[in-house]
Amino acid sequence: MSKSGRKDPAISESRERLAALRSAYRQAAADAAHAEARLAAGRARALDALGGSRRWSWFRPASLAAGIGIAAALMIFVLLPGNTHTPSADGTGMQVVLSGQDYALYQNLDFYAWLAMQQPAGHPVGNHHGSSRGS
Amino acid sequence: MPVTAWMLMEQNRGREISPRLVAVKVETEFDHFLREVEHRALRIACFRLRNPEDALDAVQDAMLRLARSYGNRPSEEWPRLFQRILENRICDGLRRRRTRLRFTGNLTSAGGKGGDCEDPFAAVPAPGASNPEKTVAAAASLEALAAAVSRLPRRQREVFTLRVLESLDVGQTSRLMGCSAGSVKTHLHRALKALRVVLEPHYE
Repeated sequence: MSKSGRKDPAISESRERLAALRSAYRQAAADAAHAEARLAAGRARALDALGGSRRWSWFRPASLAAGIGIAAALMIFVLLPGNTHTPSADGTGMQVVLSGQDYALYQNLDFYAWLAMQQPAGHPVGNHHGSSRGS
Repeated sequence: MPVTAWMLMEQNRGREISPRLVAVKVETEFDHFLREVEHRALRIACFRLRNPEDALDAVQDAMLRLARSYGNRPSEEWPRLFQRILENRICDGLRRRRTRLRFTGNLTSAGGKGGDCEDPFAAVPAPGASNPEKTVAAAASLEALAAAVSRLPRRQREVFTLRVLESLDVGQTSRLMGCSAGSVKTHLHRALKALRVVLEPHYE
């Protein structure tokens, strides 16, 4: 409006142009084919995704914690000094498990069984031990 | 009432909050939010992309990205996040189109009928013109204006679209853009100043 209270033609013209632009701006979106249906479809997909993301949102920290726990357990198992031993292929690892005396007993068990079958009743075992084993 | 406010109120009353009820309330609120913003988003995307199909794709993608990435955020943040996602998606669409046009060699149709140097208001008829002509001319000038606006910096572009074409007030615009009212005014001033260079000859 001008100072005299009448409409300024330039301002009026600008307003008309702006109104025409806004109208064209709104019309462009209104002309989109099947806009309502596609917007509704987009909304439905977004709601599905929202439900999914919320359902699995607890899973992220839980899986992270579980992963860290497993990694820590593996690291401890690998780096523990007791676990650095590797069993040998020739079976000497049994010596670690068994005491020397028990091992000798188990080693000669077959021999004692054979000796019991060979010796007649009442014959002292100790006298034939070394020679029988050597033969 | 936003879900966060409702949860706070229920906690203050000492009531048990069921996770299922919270999920239902969030979905309802999200649906309501999308219904509220989808038409404005479509208008903005149509204006910037100048293709209704691309615009609908952009709005659908923006909805989906908001749900996937920011569905867990408080609902007060959704408008600002959605606006940013939409703007990014529109920029992606324009970039892809430019790349496609570069390969196909059809560069003349990139910025409207007359290319980038066209006067946005050249096709706007005098106020006394008949309505159909006026409408067609306004649509043509809108296309050219979209090309001019696309060359503005991001914040100026957003302010111009929201304040001038969407007729939002300063408060609404600042909330959507996540900046102060003063910043909105500054960006609009700069946008209009930049566009005036293109528009001025028309008003001489």
